[in-house]
Amino acid sequence: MNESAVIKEVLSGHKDAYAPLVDRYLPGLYIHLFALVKDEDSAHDLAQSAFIKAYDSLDRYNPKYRFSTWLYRIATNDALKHLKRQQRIGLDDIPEIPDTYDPLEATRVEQREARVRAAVGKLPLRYQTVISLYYWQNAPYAEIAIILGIPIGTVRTWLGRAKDRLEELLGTYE
Amino acid sequence: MKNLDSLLTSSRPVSTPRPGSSARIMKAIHERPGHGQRLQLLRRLRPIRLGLASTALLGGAAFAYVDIQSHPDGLSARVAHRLGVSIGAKHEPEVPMPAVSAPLPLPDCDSGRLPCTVKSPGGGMTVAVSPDLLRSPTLMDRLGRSLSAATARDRNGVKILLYSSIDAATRYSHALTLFGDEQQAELAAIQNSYAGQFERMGTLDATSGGSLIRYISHPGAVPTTVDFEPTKLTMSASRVKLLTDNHLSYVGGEITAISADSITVRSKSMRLVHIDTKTQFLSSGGVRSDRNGLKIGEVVYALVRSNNGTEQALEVVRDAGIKNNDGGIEYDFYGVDFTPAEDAIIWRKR
Repeated sequence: MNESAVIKEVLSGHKDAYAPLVDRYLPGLYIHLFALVKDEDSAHDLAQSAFIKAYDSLDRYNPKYRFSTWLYRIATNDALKHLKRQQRIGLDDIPEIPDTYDPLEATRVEQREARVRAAVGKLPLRYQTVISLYYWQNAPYAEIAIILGIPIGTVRTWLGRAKDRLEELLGTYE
Repeated sequence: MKNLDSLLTSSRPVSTPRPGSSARIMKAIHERPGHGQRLQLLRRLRPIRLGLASTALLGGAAFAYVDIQSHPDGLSARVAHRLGVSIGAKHEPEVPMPAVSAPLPLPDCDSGRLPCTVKSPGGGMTVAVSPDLLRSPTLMDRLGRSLSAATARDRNGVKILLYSSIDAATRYSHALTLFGDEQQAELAAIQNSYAGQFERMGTLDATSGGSLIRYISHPGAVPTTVDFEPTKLTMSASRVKLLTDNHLSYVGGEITAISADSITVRSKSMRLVHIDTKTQFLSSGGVRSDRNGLKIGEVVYALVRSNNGTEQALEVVRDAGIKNNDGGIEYDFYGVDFTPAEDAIIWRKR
């Protein structure tokens, strides 16, 4: 059953029909939210909230867009609000870039990836968001633009600047 | 440097949803009103606190105070209104409010017909109030020193219960909480946390799940009345305030002490949090007003240190004050929101 049929089914009162959408998008959405908030509990809460909000507003869903785009937009907005609220009180918990280096290759790979993620965490929120959507959710520019409510050109600009900053942050480690 | 694109692609965060996450989401979905059966009020605005001044029963000239807050976005509104107020809550970010200056007559209620229906002049929700319950001696007995309680139905026929009390001995206004079917899951947790301090008033309707708990200021309960120098602040009551954020745990904190410059809160985990209100209040979050321009309160932020040593958010809502018809006592209202999961409200006498 395609998504629009699923959504019609849900709107007709069959709540169980919503389950496949949850199953399909929860893992990716959770990863995206975790990348932004860097806290498992918060990521879980935000993901759940996003699915519930989407369900509550399903009658206003525009089938012109993919359901996932709409869901990610809801979730991303909530995550950014969540983070801004934390920032407002100075509780930003940005991880430090690890400086240890394990000789084992497997560990090196893990360390390198951890450094990359930590470096991403040092970026401004908008850059973190586009990195997560583009590289970790495989969302095309057009979809990112819809999710974030910005022009496609801005997506490109933010990604470019994000990568410039990342190269600065990571350059000394490579 | 190695190709940054491939580095980024391979650095996808490694974390997966916990087992059962999907099931929990679907459980929450099943507990929500179906499409077409929306209970806008409870979906959008939680919690709702309603205080009814003592004149609600004594003189028939009811005065209702409604404070609606939506966390965490700061949506908040207050209605001062004649009893029978309907709570309009269809639209965000502001709540349609009936004019404070236009008291609603309650002919149906006064005539004793059941239920009496009062439509909000603000275009919001219509509720029906049962005046017999409002004046029920049985219920009054159960509520002890309380003065008023009422049942109501929203426009979808879902029962809700309004309740308030004035402590006759201490003349403190107690909190009122309105619960709908979305809060059911949280009730048990709250009651477990506050055994002996909350009493469940009973489920109103098995299908809607409307229910109510209330704070019982029994002798020996913490907090009790405490006077402080030099401002003679008196703590009047404390209760759980439900966080309204969909995804947060609904647990509460308990005010254990208050003075002119500090507040002590005991969390669910029995951790004591001391808040120096002079040094820890960081900044003002601005004045909240409803769409009628009524000042609701001022939001300030404070930092507290959690049990693991990290700083936590504390949002304090300093209310504009409540004019109590019962002898003209006014209260400053402090809503203390712990983030993410600890939360309490205190009232203090001005």
